[in-house]
Amino acid sequence: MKKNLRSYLALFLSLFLLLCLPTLSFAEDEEATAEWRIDESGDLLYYGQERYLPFDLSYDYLNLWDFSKEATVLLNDRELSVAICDDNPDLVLLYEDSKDYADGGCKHLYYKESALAEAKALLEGEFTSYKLNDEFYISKVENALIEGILSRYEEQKQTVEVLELENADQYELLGYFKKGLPLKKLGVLLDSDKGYYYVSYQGLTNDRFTSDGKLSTREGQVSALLLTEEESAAISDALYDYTFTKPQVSADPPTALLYVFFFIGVALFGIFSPLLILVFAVIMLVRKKTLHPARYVALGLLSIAWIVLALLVALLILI
Amino acid sequence: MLGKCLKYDFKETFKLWWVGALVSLLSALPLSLLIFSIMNDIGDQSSFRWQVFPLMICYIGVVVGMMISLFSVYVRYYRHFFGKEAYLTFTLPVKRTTLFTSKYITALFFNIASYAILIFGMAGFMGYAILDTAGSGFSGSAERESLVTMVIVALIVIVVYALFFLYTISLSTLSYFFIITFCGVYFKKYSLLAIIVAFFCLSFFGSYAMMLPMMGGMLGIFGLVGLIDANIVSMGPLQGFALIGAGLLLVIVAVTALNMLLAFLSKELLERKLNVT
Repeated sequence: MKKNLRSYLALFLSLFLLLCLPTLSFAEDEEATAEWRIDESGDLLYYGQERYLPFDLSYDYLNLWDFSKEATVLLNDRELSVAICDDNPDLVLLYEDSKDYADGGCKHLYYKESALAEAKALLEGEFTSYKLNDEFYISKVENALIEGILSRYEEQKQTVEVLELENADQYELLGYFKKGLPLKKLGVLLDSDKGYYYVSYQGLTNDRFTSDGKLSTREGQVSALLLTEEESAAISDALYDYTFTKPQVSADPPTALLYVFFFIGVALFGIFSPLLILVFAVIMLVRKKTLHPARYVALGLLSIAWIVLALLVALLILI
Repeated sequence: MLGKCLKYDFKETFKLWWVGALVSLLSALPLSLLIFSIMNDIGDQSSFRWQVFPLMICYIGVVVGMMISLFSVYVRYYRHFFGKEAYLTFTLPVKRTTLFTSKYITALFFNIASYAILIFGMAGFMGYAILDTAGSGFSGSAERESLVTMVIVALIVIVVYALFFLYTISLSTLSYFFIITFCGVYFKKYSLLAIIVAFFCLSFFGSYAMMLPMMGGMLGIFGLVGLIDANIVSMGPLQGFALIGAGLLLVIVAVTALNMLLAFLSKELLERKLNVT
Protein backbone atom coordinates (compact mmCIF):
# COMPACT_ATOMS: atom_id res chain seq x y z
CA MET A 1 0.00 0.00 0.00
CA LYS A 2 2.82 2.37 0.97
CA LYS A 3 4.66 1.51 -2.22
CA ASN A 4 1.49 2.20 -4.24
CA LEU A 5 1.07 5.56 -2.54
CA ARG A 6 4.66 6.46 -3.39
CA SER A 7 4.09 5.48 -7.03
CA TYR A 8 0.94 7.61 -7.23
CA LEU A 9 2.79 10.54 -5.65
CA ALA A 10 5.66 10.14 -8.14
CA LEU A 11 3.20 10.01 -11.04
CA PHE A 12 1.35 13.07 -9.77
CA LEU A 13 4.59 15.03 -9.34
CA SER A 14 5.87 13.99 -12.78
CA LEU A 15 2.63 15.15 -14.36
CA PHE A 16 2.80 18.39 -12.42
CA LEU A 17 6.37 19.02 -13.60
CA LEU A 18 5.39 18.16 -17.15
CA LEU A 19 2.59 20.71 -17.00
CA CYS A 20 5.07 23.30 -15.71
CA LEU A 21 7.31 22.90 -18.75
CA PRO A 22 5.44 25.31 -21.04
CA THR A 23 5.78 28.10 -18.47
CA LEU A 24 9.57 27.75 -18.72
CA SER A 25 9.44 28.61 -22.41
CA PHE A 26 7.33 31.68 -21.64
CA ALA A 27 9.84 32.76 -19.01
CA GLU A 28 12.56 32.61 -21.61
CA ASP A 29 10.46 34.73 -23.97
CA GLU A 30 9.97 37.39 -21.32
CA GLU A 31 13.70 37.58 -20.75
CA ALA A 32 14.32 38.01 -24.45
CA THR A 33 11.66 40.66 -25.03
CA ALA A 34 12.75 42.62 -21.94
CA GLU A 35 15.77 43.81 -23.92
CA TRP A 36 13.72 46.19 -26.08
CA ARG A 37 14.09 49.81 -24.92
CA ILE A 38 13.68 53.30 -26.33
CA ASP A 39 15.50 56.56 -25.57
CA GLU A 40 13.65 59.58 -24.18
CA SER A 41 13.40 61.44 -27.50
CA GLY A 42 11.88 58.39 -29.22
CA ASP A 43 14.42 58.59 -32.03
CA LEU A 44 16.42 55.53 -31.07
CA LEU A 45 15.13 52.05 -30.38
CA TYR A 46 17.43 49.42 -28.93
CA TYR A 47 17.34 45.67 -28.91
CA GLY A 48 20.29 44.72 -26.73
CA GLN A 49 23.25 46.40 -28.38
CA GLU A 50 21.54 46.72 -31.78
CA ARG A 51 20.26 50.19 -32.72
CA TYR A 52 17.14 50.88 -34.75
CA LEU A 53 16.65 54.25 -36.48
CA PRO A 54 13.40 55.87 -37.66
CA PHE A 55 12.58 54.77 -41.18
CA ASP A 56 10.75 57.41 -43.16
CA LEU A 57 8.17 55.86 -45.44
CA SER A 58 4.80 56.98 -46.69
CA TYR A 59 1.60 55.15 -45.81
CA ASP A 60 1.61 53.49 -49.25
CA TYR A 61 4.32 51.13 -48.17
CA LEU A 62 2.80 49.87 -44.99
CA ASN A 63 -0.55 48.47 -45.72
CA LEU A 64 0.23 44.94 -46.76
CA TRP A 65 2.77 43.85 -44.21
CA ASP A 66 2.27 41.41 -41.39
CA PHE A 67 3.70 42.37 -38.00
CA SER A 68 3.93 40.24 -34.87
CA LYS A 69 3.92 41.91 -31.49
CA GLU A 70 7.14 41.25 -29.59
CA ALA A 71 7.26 43.50 -26.53
CA THR A 72 6.18 46.77 -24.95
CA VAL A 73 8.35 49.79 -24.14
CA LEU A 74 7.68 52.95 -22.11
CA LEU A 75 8.12 56.40 -23.68
CA ASN A 76 7.24 59.36 -21.42
CA ASP A 77 4.77 57.20 -19.47
CA ARG A 78 3.08 56.02 -22.70
CA GLU A 79 3.09 52.30 -23.25
CA LEU A 80 4.06 51.45 -26.84
CA SER A 81 4.06 48.09 -28.56
CA VAL A 82 7.02 46.83 -30.54
CA ALA A 83 6.12 44.59 -33.50
CA ILE A 84 8.50 42.93 -35.94
CA CYS A 85 7.74 42.51 -39.63
CA ASP A 86 7.13 38.81 -40.38
CA ASP A 87 8.93 38.98 -43.73
CA ASN A 88 11.81 41.16 -42.62
CA PRO A 89 13.10 41.06 -39.02
CA ASP A 90 15.09 44.29 -39.55
CA LEU A 91 11.87 46.27 -39.84
CA VAL A 92 10.17 47.22 -36.57
CA LEU A 93 6.88 48.99 -35.94
CA LEU A 94 6.23 51.03 -32.80
CA TYR A 95 2.60 51.80 -32.06
CA GLU A 96 0.15 52.61 -29.34
CA ASP A 97 -2.49 49.95 -28.79
CA SER A 98 -5.20 52.56 -28.29
CA LYS A 99 -4.43 54.33 -31.60
CA ASP A 100 -4.14 53.28 -35.17
CA TYR A 101 -0.44 52.79 -35.85
CA ALA A 102 -0.75 54.43 -39.25
CA ASP A 103 -2.38 57.54 -37.77
CA GLY A 104 -0.42 60.61 -38.88
CA GLY A 105 1.97 58.82 -41.21
CA CYS A 106 4.56 56.22 -40.34
CA LYS A 107 6.82 58.05 -37.97
CA HIS A 108 6.89 54.97 -35.76
CA LEU A 109 8.64 52.71 -38.25
CA TYR A 110 12.22 51.76 -37.39
CA TYR A 111 14.93 49.95 -39.32
CA LYS A 112 18.05 48.18 -38.04
CA GLU A 113 20.90 50.67 -38.29
CA SER A 114 23.38 48.19 -39.79
CA ALA A 115 20.99 47.33 -42.64
CA LEU A 116 19.39 50.77 -43.15
CA ALA A 117 21.73 51.96 -45.93
CA GLU A 118 21.07 48.82 -47.97
CA ALA A 119 17.29 49.17 -47.54
CA LYS A 120 17.34 52.84 -48.57
CA ALA A 121 19.44 52.02 -51.63
CA LEU A 122 16.93 49.35 -52.59
CA LEU A 123 14.05 51.78 -52.19
CA GLU A 124 15.72 54.15 -54.61
CA GLY A 125 16.37 51.32 -57.05
CA GLU A 126 13.93 49.58 -59.38
CA PHE A 127 11.16 47.22 -58.54
CA THR A 128 11.91 43.53 -58.98
CA SER A 129 8.32 42.31 -59.27
CA TYR A 130 4.74 43.56 -59.47
CA LYS A 131 1.46 42.28 -58.09
CA LEU A 132 -2.19 43.22 -58.40
CA ASN A 133 -4.15 43.34 -55.19
CA ASP A 134 -7.88 42.97 -54.79
CA GLU A 135 -9.39 43.16 -51.31
CA PHE A 136 -9.07 39.40 -50.91
CA TYR A 137 -6.85 38.19 -53.73
CA ILE A 138 -3.37 38.94 -54.94
CA SER A 139 -2.00 38.10 -58.40
CA LYS A 140 1.50 38.26 -59.83
CA VAL A 141 1.90 40.13 -63.14
CA GLU A 142 4.74 40.07 -65.63
CA ASN A 143 7.35 42.79 -65.17
CA ALA A 144 7.54 43.63 -68.89
CA LEU A 145 3.78 44.22 -69.07
CA ILE A 146 3.73 46.65 -66.13
CA GLU A 147 6.95 48.40 -67.12
CA GLY A 148 5.40 48.98 -70.58
CA ILE A 149 2.28 50.50 -69.00
CA LEU A 150 4.31 52.68 -66.61
CA SER A 151 6.58 53.95 -69.38
CA ARG A 152 3.60 54.99 -71.54
CA TYR A 153 1.65 56.55 -68.69
CA GLU A 154 3.12 60.04 -68.62
CA GLU A 155 2.96 60.51 -72.41
CA GLN A 156 -0.38 58.91 -73.26
CA LYS A 157 -2.51 59.53 -70.15
CA GLN A 158 -5.85 61.23 -70.69
CA THR A 159 -8.26 63.01 -68.42
CA VAL A 160 -11.20 60.88 -67.36
CA GLU A 161 -14.28 61.74 -65.31
CA VAL A 162 -14.17 59.46 -62.27
CA LEU A 163 -17.95 59.00 -62.45
CA GLU A 164 -17.37 56.97 -65.62
CA LEU A 165 -15.37 54.53 -63.50
CA GLU A 166 -17.99 54.29 -60.76
CA ASN A 167 -18.79 50.61 -61.26
CA ALA A 168 -15.31 49.50 -62.27
CA ASP A 169 -13.55 46.87 -60.14
CA GLN A 170 -10.32 48.22 -58.67
CA TYR A 171 -7.01 46.34 -58.51
CA GLU A 172 -4.12 48.05 -56.77
CA LEU A 173 -0.75 47.78 -58.45
CA LEU A 174 2.03 46.97 -55.98
CA GLY A 175 5.73 47.23 -56.68
CA TYR A 176 8.08 44.92 -54.76
CA PHE A 177 11.75 45.65 -54.22
CA LYS A 178 12.86 42.28 -52.94
CA LYS A 179 11.27 39.52 -50.86
CA GLY A 180 11.04 40.77 -47.31
CA LEU A 181 11.68 44.38 -48.20
CA PRO A 182 9.06 47.10 -48.57
CA LEU A 183 6.56 47.25 -51.35
CA LYS A 184 4.96 50.38 -52.74
CA LYS A 185 1.44 51.05 -53.94
CA LEU A 186 1.99 52.48 -57.41
CA GLY A 187 -1.53 53.00 -58.65
CA VAL A 188 -4.75 51.26 -59.52
CA LEU A 189 -6.15 49.35 -62.48
CA LEU A 190 -9.85 49.90 -63.09
CA ASP A 191 -11.85 47.32 -65.03
CA SER A 192 -14.31 49.54 -66.97
CA ASP A 193 -16.60 48.87 -69.95
CA LYS A 194 -14.00 50.29 -72.33
CA GLY A 195 -11.18 48.14 -70.95
CA TYR A 196 -8.65 48.54 -68.16
CA TYR A 197 -7.63 52.06 -67.08
CA TYR A 198 -4.43 52.64 -65.11
CA VAL A 199 -4.36 55.54 -62.65
CA SER A 200 -1.10 56.41 -60.91
CA TYR A 201 -1.26 57.33 -57.23
CA GLN A 202 1.61 59.79 -57.65
CA GLY A 203 0.41 63.32 -57.03
CA LEU A 204 -3.05 62.28 -55.86
CA THR A 205 -4.10 63.99 -52.66
CA ASN A 206 -5.69 62.27 -49.70
CA ASP A 207 -9.21 63.50 -50.60
CA ARG A 208 -9.12 61.41 -53.78
CA PHE A 209 -9.40 58.21 -51.70
CA THR A 210 -12.26 56.63 -49.80
CA SER A 211 -11.95 55.67 -46.13
CA ASP A 212 -10.93 52.11 -47.05
CA GLY A 213 -8.08 53.33 -49.25
CA LYS A 214 -9.75 52.89 -52.64
CA LEU A 215 -9.76 55.51 -55.38
CA SER A 216 -12.83 57.66 -54.87
CA THR A 217 -15.17 57.76 -57.90
CA ARG A 218 -17.59 60.31 -56.46
CA GLU A 219 -16.53 63.42 -58.35
CA GLY A 220 -13.66 65.04 -60.24
CA GLN A 221 -11.22 63.99 -62.88
CA VAL A 222 -8.10 61.83 -62.90
CA SER A 223 -5.30 61.20 -65.35
CA ALA A 224 -5.72 57.68 -66.66
CA LEU A 225 -4.16 55.48 -69.31
CA LEU A 226 -6.45 53.20 -71.32
CA LEU A 227 -4.71 49.85 -71.79
CA THR A 228 -4.54 48.17 -75.19
CA GLU A 229 -6.55 44.99 -75.85
CA GLU A 230 -3.45 42.80 -75.53
CA GLU A 231 -2.50 44.42 -72.24
CA SER A 232 -6.06 44.06 -70.93
CA ALA A 233 -6.11 40.38 -71.91
CA ALA A 234 -2.77 39.80 -70.16
CA ILE A 235 -4.07 41.57 -67.03
CA SER A 236 -7.24 39.42 -67.07
CA ASP A 237 -5.10 36.28 -67.34
CA ALA A 238 -2.92 37.43 -64.46
CA LEU A 239 -5.97 38.21 -62.30
CA TYR A 240 -7.38 34.74 -62.96
CA ASP A 241 -4.29 33.18 -61.37
CA TYR A 242 -4.60 34.52 -57.84
CA THR A 243 -3.80 33.61 -54.26
CA PHE A 244 -5.58 34.80 -51.14
CA THR A 245 -4.15 37.77 -49.26
CA LYS A 246 -3.04 37.18 -45.71
CA PRO A 247 -4.42 39.03 -42.66
CA GLN A 248 -2.52 42.23 -42.07
CA VAL A 249 -1.47 42.53 -38.44
CA SER A 250 -1.63 39.44 -36.30
CA ALA A 251 -0.69 38.89 -32.69
CA ASP A 252 0.15 35.25 -33.34
CA PRO A 253 1.39 34.21 -36.76
CA PRO A 254 -1.18 31.72 -38.11
CA THR A 255 1.47 29.76 -39.97
CA ALA A 256 3.19 28.70 -36.77
CA LEU A 257 -0.14 27.65 -35.27
CA LEU A 258 -1.00 25.64 -38.38
CA TYR A 259 2.31 23.82 -38.14
CA VAL A 260 1.76 23.09 -34.43
CA PHE A 261 -1.66 21.55 -35.20
CA PHE A 262 -0.16 19.70 -38.12
CA PHE A 263 2.60 18.10 -36.04
CA ILE A 264 0.21 17.27 -33.17
CA GLY A 265 -2.09 15.60 -35.73
CA VAL A 266 0.76 13.63 -37.27
CA ALA A 267 2.09 12.54 -33.86
CA LEU A 268 -1.33 11.57 -32.49
CA PHE A 269 -3.06 9.96 -35.48
CA GLY A 270 -0.02 9.01 -37.54
CA ILE A 271 2.36 7.59 -34.95
CA PHE A 272 0.82 7.17 -31.50
CA SER A 273 -2.44 5.43 -32.52
CA PRO A 274 -0.88 2.87 -34.88
CA LEU A 275 1.95 2.32 -32.40
CA LEU A 276 -0.61 1.32 -29.76
CA ILE A 277 -2.16 -1.17 -32.21
CA LEU A 278 1.32 -2.49 -33.10
CA VAL A 279 2.18 -3.02 -29.42
CA PHE A 280 -1.16 -4.79 -28.91
CA ALA A 281 -0.53 -7.04 -31.94
CA VAL A 282 2.97 -7.92 -30.70
CA ILE A 283 1.65 -8.73 -27.21
CA MET A 284 -1.03 -10.98 -28.70
CA LEU A 285 1.60 -12.69 -30.84
CA VAL A 286 3.95 -13.29 -27.92
CA ARG A 287 1.15 -14.74 -25.78
CA LYS A 288 0.91 -18.49 -26.15
CA LYS A 289 -2.86 -18.50 -25.62
CA THR A 290 -3.63 -16.51 -28.78
CA LEU A 291 -5.80 -18.59 -31.10
CA HIS A 292 -5.06 -17.10 -34.52
CA PRO A 293 -1.56 -15.59 -34.57
CA ALA A 294 -1.68 -14.92 -38.35
CA ARG A 295 -4.40 -12.31 -37.76
CA TYR A 296 -2.13 -10.34 -35.45
CA VAL A 297 0.77 -10.54 -37.87
CA ALA A 298 -1.50 -8.91 -40.48
CA LEU A 299 -2.65 -6.31 -37.95
CA GLY A 300 0.96 -5.51 -36.99
CA LEU A 301 1.96 -5.12 -40.66
CA LEU A 302 -1.02 -2.83 -41.28
CA SER A 303 -0.10 -0.62 -38.34
CA ILE A 304 3.49 -0.37 -39.65
CA ALA A 305 2.10 0.59 -43.10
CA TRP A 306 -0.08 3.18 -41.31
CA ILE A 307 2.97 4.81 -39.68
CA VAL A 308 4.98 4.78 -42.92
CA LEU A 309 2.11 6.30 -44.93
CA ALA A 310 1.45 8.97 -42.30
CA LEU A 311 5.12 9.98 -42.37
CA LEU A 312 5.06 9.95 -46.19
CA VAL A 313 2.01 12.26 -46.25
CA ALA A 314 3.65 14.61 -43.74
CA LEU A 315 6.84 14.65 -45.79
CA LEU A 316 4.95 15.34 -49.03
CA ILE A 317 3.19 18.29 -47.41
CA LEU A 318 6.37 19.73 -45.91
CA ILE A 319 8.76 19.49 -48.85
CA MET B 1 -22.33 -23.32 -43.28
CA LEU B 2 -21.93 -19.57 -43.63
CA GLY B 3 -24.78 -19.55 -46.18
CA LYS B 4 -27.15 -21.22 -43.74
CA CYS B 5 -26.14 -18.85 -40.94
CA LEU B 6 -26.68 -15.87 -43.21
CA LYS B 7 -30.13 -17.10 -44.24
CA TYR B 8 -31.16 -17.54 -40.63
CA ASP B 9 -29.67 -14.19 -39.56
CA PHE B 10 -31.32 -12.29 -42.43
CA LYS B 11 -34.70 -13.83 -41.55
CA GLU B 12 -34.40 -13.04 -37.85
CA THR B 13 -33.05 -9.51 -38.33
CA PHE B 14 -35.75 -8.65 -40.87
CA LYS B 15 -38.49 -9.37 -38.26
CA LEU B 16 -37.59 -6.18 -36.37
CA TRP B 17 -35.86 -4.23 -39.12
CA TRP B 18 -38.90 -3.87 -41.40
CA VAL B 19 -40.87 -2.02 -38.68
CA GLY B 20 -38.16 0.65 -38.42
CA ALA B 21 -37.67 0.81 -42.18
CA LEU B 22 -41.41 1.26 -42.77
CA VAL B 23 -41.67 3.99 -40.11
CA SER B 24 -38.68 5.84 -41.55
CA LEU B 25 -39.97 5.51 -45.15
CA LEU B 26 -43.51 6.63 -44.24
CA SER B 27 -42.08 9.63 -42.34
CA ALA B 28 -39.46 10.52 -44.95
CA LEU B 29 -41.95 10.81 -47.84
CA PRO B 30 -44.15 13.52 -46.23
CA LEU B 31 -41.03 15.12 -44.69
CA SER B 32 -39.59 15.51 -48.16
CA LEU B 33 -42.84 17.07 -49.45
CA LEU B 34 -43.09 19.41 -46.43
CA ILE B 35 -39.51 20.68 -46.85
CA PHE B 36 -40.22 21.18 -50.54
CA SER B 37 -43.40 23.11 -49.74
CA ILE B 38 -41.74 25.27 -47.06
CA MET B 39 -38.93 26.16 -49.45
CA ASN B 40 -41.46 27.28 -52.04
CA ASP B 41 -43.54 29.32 -49.54
CA ILE B 42 -40.65 31.12 -47.80
CA GLY B 43 -41.96 34.22 -46.09
CA ASP B 44 -45.56 33.05 -46.04
CA GLN B 45 -46.17 33.00 -42.27
CA SER B 46 -49.72 31.62 -42.36
CA SER B 47 -48.82 28.45 -44.26
CA PHE B 48 -45.53 28.06 -42.37
CA ARG B 49 -47.35 27.65 -39.03
CA TRP B 50 -49.38 24.61 -40.02
CA GLN B 51 -46.40 23.04 -41.76
CA VAL B 52 -44.02 23.13 -38.78
CA PHE B 53 -45.90 20.72 -36.51
CA PRO B 54 -46.27 17.89 -39.07
CA LEU B 55 -42.68 18.56 -40.11
CA MET B 56 -41.47 17.89 -36.57
CA ILE B 57 -43.63 14.77 -36.27
CA CYS B 58 -42.19 13.44 -39.55
CA TYR B 59 -38.67 14.30 -38.47
CA ILE B 60 -39.10 12.43 -35.18
CA GLY B 61 -40.60 9.54 -37.18
CA VAL B 62 -37.53 9.40 -39.40
CA VAL B 63 -35.15 9.46 -36.42
CA VAL B 64 -37.08 6.80 -34.47
CA GLY B 65 -37.51 4.61 -37.60
CA MET B 66 -33.81 4.86 -38.39
CA MET B 67 -32.87 4.01 -34.79
CA ILE B 68 -35.10 0.93 -34.81
CA SER B 69 -33.83 -0.30 -38.16
CA LEU B 70 -30.16 0.41 -37.34
CA PHE B 71 -30.33 -1.12 -33.88
CA SER B 72 -32.23 -4.22 -35.02
CA VAL B 73 -28.91 -5.75 -36.10
CA TYR B 74 -27.39 -5.20 -32.66
CA VAL B 75 -30.48 -6.62 -30.95
CA ARG B 76 -30.04 -9.70 -33.12
CA TYR B 77 -26.33 -9.94 -32.19
CA TYR B 78 -27.05 -9.64 -28.47
CA ARG B 79 -29.89 -12.16 -28.51
CA HIS B 80 -27.86 -14.65 -30.52
CA PHE B 81 -24.74 -14.61 -28.35
CA PHE B 82 -25.92 -13.43 -24.94
CA GLY B 83 -29.70 -13.83 -24.77
CA LYS B 84 -31.75 -16.95 -24.11
CA GLU B 85 -30.99 -18.12 -27.64
CA ALA B 86 -27.29 -18.36 -26.76
CA TYR B 87 -27.71 -21.78 -25.17
CA LEU B 88 -28.94 -23.09 -28.50
CA THR B 89 -26.37 -21.11 -30.51
CA PHE B 90 -23.38 -22.76 -28.96
CA THR B 91 -24.73 -26.27 -29.31
CA LEU B 92 -24.69 -25.85 -33.12
CA PRO B 93 -21.72 -27.45 -34.88
CA VAL B 94 -20.59 -24.08 -36.26
CA LYS B 95 -17.40 -22.14 -35.56
CA ARG B 96 -17.89 -18.95 -33.59
CA THR B 97 -15.91 -17.12 -36.28
CA THR B 98 -18.52 -18.18 -38.85
CA LEU B 99 -21.34 -17.00 -36.58
CA PHE B 100 -19.57 -13.66 -36.08
CA THR B 101 -18.88 -13.21 -39.81
CA SER B 102 -22.51 -13.96 -40.61
CA LYS B 103 -23.63 -11.30 -38.10
CA TYR B 104 -21.17 -8.81 -39.57
CA ILE B 105 -22.36 -9.31 -43.17
CA THR B 106 -26.02 -9.15 -42.08
CA ALA B 107 -25.36 -5.96 -40.12
CA LEU B 108 -23.59 -4.30 -43.04
CA PHE B 109 -26.42 -5.21 -45.40
CA PHE B 110 -29.23 -4.01 -43.16
CA ASN B 111 -27.41 -0.81 -42.15
CA ILE B 112 -26.84 0.12 -45.81
CA ALA B 113 -30.45 -0.83 -46.57
CA SER B 114 -31.65 1.50 -43.78
CA TYR B 115 -29.79 4.44 -45.33
CA ALA B 116 -30.99 3.44 -48.80
CA ILE B 117 -34.62 3.49 -47.57
CA LEU B 118 -34.09 6.96 -46.09
CA ILE B 119 -32.50 8.23 -49.32
CA PHE B 120 -35.37 6.71 -51.33
CA GLY B 121 -37.90 8.47 -49.05
CA MET B 122 -36.14 11.80 -49.48
CA ALA B 123 -35.27 11.24 -53.16
CA GLY B 124 -37.82 13.75 -54.45
CA PHE B 125 -36.47 16.58 -52.36
CA MET B 126 -32.82 15.62 -52.87
CA GLY B 127 -33.29 15.34 -56.63
CA TYR B 128 -34.93 18.75 -56.72
CA ALA B 129 -32.09 20.28 -54.66
CA ILE B 130 -29.42 18.73 -56.92
CA LEU B 131 -31.16 19.81 -60.13
CA ASP B 132 -31.72 23.29 -58.72
CA THR B 133 -28.03 23.67 -57.83
CA ALA B 134 -26.86 22.18 -61.11
CA GLY B 135 -29.31 24.40 -63.04
CA SER B 136 -28.06 27.59 -61.41
CA GLY B 137 -24.46 26.43 -61.75
CA PHE B 138 -24.39 25.63 -65.47
CA SER B 139 -27.16 27.77 -67.01
CA GLY B 140 -26.23 26.53 -70.47
CA SER B 141 -22.96 28.42 -70.73
CA ALA B 142 -20.60 25.74 -69.44
CA GLU B 143 -18.17 24.44 -71.99
CA ARG B 144 -18.38 20.77 -72.88
CA GLU B 145 -14.83 20.01 -71.87
CA SER B 146 -15.24 21.41 -68.38
CA LEU B 147 -18.55 19.55 -68.04
CA VAL B 148 -16.86 16.23 -68.88
CA THR B 149 -14.08 16.98 -66.39
CA MET B 150 -16.66 17.86 -63.76
CA VAL B 151 -18.57 14.60 -64.35
CA ILE B 152 -15.33 12.57 -64.06
CA VAL B 153 -14.32 14.40 -60.88
CA ALA B 154 -17.85 13.95 -59.49
CA LEU B 155 -17.71 10.19 -60.21
CA ILE B 156 -14.33 9.89 -58.48
CA VAL B 157 -15.67 11.84 -55.49
CA ILE B 158 -18.78 9.60 -55.36
CA VAL B 159 -16.65 6.40 -55.48
CA VAL B 160 -14.27 7.70 -52.79
CA TYR B 161 -17.13 8.79 -50.56
CA ALA B 162 -18.99 5.50 -51.10
CA LEU B 163 -15.85 3.73 -49.94
CA PHE B 164 -15.54 5.98 -46.88
CA PHE B 165 -19.26 5.51 -46.18
CA LEU B 166 -18.84 1.72 -46.25
CA TYR B 167 -15.82 1.97 -43.98
CA THR B 168 -17.70 4.20 -41.56
CA ILE B 169 -20.65 1.80 -41.37
CA SER B 170 -18.28 -1.13 -40.94
CA LEU B 171 -16.37 0.65 -38.19
CA SER B 172 -19.51 1.64 -36.29
CA THR B 173 -20.95 -1.89 -36.64
CA LEU B 174 -17.77 -3.50 -35.31
CA SER B 175 -17.54 -0.96 -32.48
CA TYR B 176 -21.07 -1.82 -31.35
CA PHE B 177 -20.34 -5.55 -31.72
CA PHE B 178 -17.24 -5.13 -29.58
CA ILE B 179 -19.15 -3.22 -26.91
CA ILE B 180 -21.86 -5.87 -26.77
CA THR B 181 -19.28 -8.67 -26.59
CA PHE B 182 -17.18 -6.90 -23.96
CA CYS B 183 -20.19 -6.10 -21.76
CA GLY B 184 -21.69 -9.54 -22.35
CA VAL B 185 -18.47 -11.28 -21.30
CA TYR B 186 -17.44 -9.12 -18.34
CA PHE B 187 -20.73 -7.79 -16.92
CA LYS B 188 -22.68 -11.07 -17.27
CA LYS B 189 -25.80 -10.41 -15.14
CA TYR B 190 -25.82 -6.68 -15.79
CA SER B 191 -24.68 -6.93 -19.38
CA LEU B 192 -27.85 -5.37 -20.85
CA LEU B 193 -27.61 -2.35 -18.54
CA ALA B 194 -23.88 -1.97 -19.31
CA ILE B 195 -24.57 -2.22 -23.05
CA ILE B 196 -27.24 0.49 -22.88
CA VAL B 197 -24.89 2.82 -20.96
CA ALA B 198 -22.00 2.07 -23.33
CA PHE B 199 -24.25 2.54 -26.39
CA PHE B 200 -25.38 5.89 -25.04
CA CYS B 201 -21.77 6.96 -24.41
CA LEU B 202 -20.62 5.78 -27.82
CA SER B 203 -23.52 7.48 -29.59
CA PHE B 204 -22.96 10.65 -27.60
CA PHE B 205 -19.18 10.93 -27.76
CA GLY B 206 -18.21 8.41 -30.38
CA SER B 207 -20.48 9.30 -33.29
CA TYR B 208 -18.03 12.03 -34.22
CA ALA B 209 -15.16 9.57 -33.99
CA MET B 210 -17.09 7.26 -36.31
CA MET B 211 -17.29 10.05 -38.84
CA LEU B 212 -13.54 10.69 -38.64
CA PRO B 213 -12.62 8.84 -41.83
CA MET B 214 -15.14 10.87 -43.84
CA MET B 215 -14.54 14.14 -42.04
CA GLY B 216 -10.79 13.61 -42.07
CA GLY B 217 -10.80 13.05 -45.83
CA MET B 218 -12.88 16.17 -46.41
CA LEU B 219 -10.97 18.37 -43.97
CA GLY B 220 -7.68 17.07 -45.30
CA ILE B 221 -8.55 18.04 -48.86
CA PHE B 222 -9.98 21.46 -47.92
CA GLY B 223 -7.14 22.12 -45.45
CA LEU B 224 -4.55 21.30 -48.06
CA VAL B 225 -6.24 23.54 -50.62
CA GLY B 226 -6.26 26.27 -47.95
CA LEU B 227 -2.56 25.77 -47.23
CA ILE B 228 -1.76 25.96 -50.93
CA ASP B 229 -3.94 29.04 -51.38
CA ALA B 230 -2.31 30.78 -48.43
CA ASN B 231 1.07 30.15 -50.07
CA ILE B 232 2.18 28.11 -47.06
CA VAL B 233 2.50 24.96 -49.12
CA SER B 234 3.45 25.02 -52.75
CA MET B 235 3.52 21.87 -54.81
CA GLY B 236 3.55 20.70 -58.39
CA PRO B 237 0.88 18.43 -59.90
CA LEU B 238 3.01 15.30 -59.44
CA GLN B 239 3.53 15.98 -55.75
CA GLY B 240 -0.16 16.82 -55.44
CA PHE B 241 -1.26 13.52 -56.98
CA ALA B 242 1.29 11.60 -54.88
CA LEU B 243 -0.08 13.32 -51.78
CA ILE B 244 -3.72 12.57 -52.60
CA GLY B 245 -2.82 8.94 -53.39
CA ALA B 246 -0.80 8.51 -50.20
CA GLY B 247 -3.55 10.24 -48.18
CA LEU B 248 -6.27 7.94 -49.54
CA LEU B 249 -4.10 4.88 -48.96
CA LEU B 250 -3.40 6.08 -45.42
CA VAL B 251 -7.11 6.40 -44.63
CA ILE B 252 -7.80 2.96 -46.12
CA VAL B 253 -4.94 1.32 -44.19
CA ALA B 254 -5.85 3.10 -40.93
CA VAL B 255 -9.56 2.25 -41.06
CA THR B 256 -8.84 -1.33 -42.15
CA ALA B 257 -6.49 -1.70 -39.17
CA LEU B 258 -9.16 -0.32 -36.81
CA ASN B 259 -11.80 -2.62 -38.31
CA MET B 260 -9.51 -5.61 -37.93
CA LEU B 261 -8.61 -4.68 -34.36
CA LEU B 262 -12.26 -4.48 -33.29
CA ALA B 263 -13.23 -7.67 -35.14
CA PHE B 264 -10.30 -9.68 -33.73
CA LEU B 265 -10.90 -8.45 -30.21
CA SER B 266 -14.60 -9.37 -30.41
CA LYS B 267 -13.81 -12.81 -31.87
CA GLU B 268 -11.08 -13.43 -29.29
CA LEU B 269 -13.49 -12.56 -26.48
CA LEU B 270 -16.22 -14.74 -27.97
CA GLU B 271 -13.94 -17.73 -28.41
CA ARG B 272 -11.89 -17.57 -25.24
CA LYS B 273 -13.91 -15.87 -22.59
CA LEU B 274 -17.47 -16.83 -23.32
CA ASN B 275 -18.57 -19.60 -21.04
CA VAL B 276 -22.27 -20.25 -21.35
CA THR B 277 -22.38 -23.92 -20.49
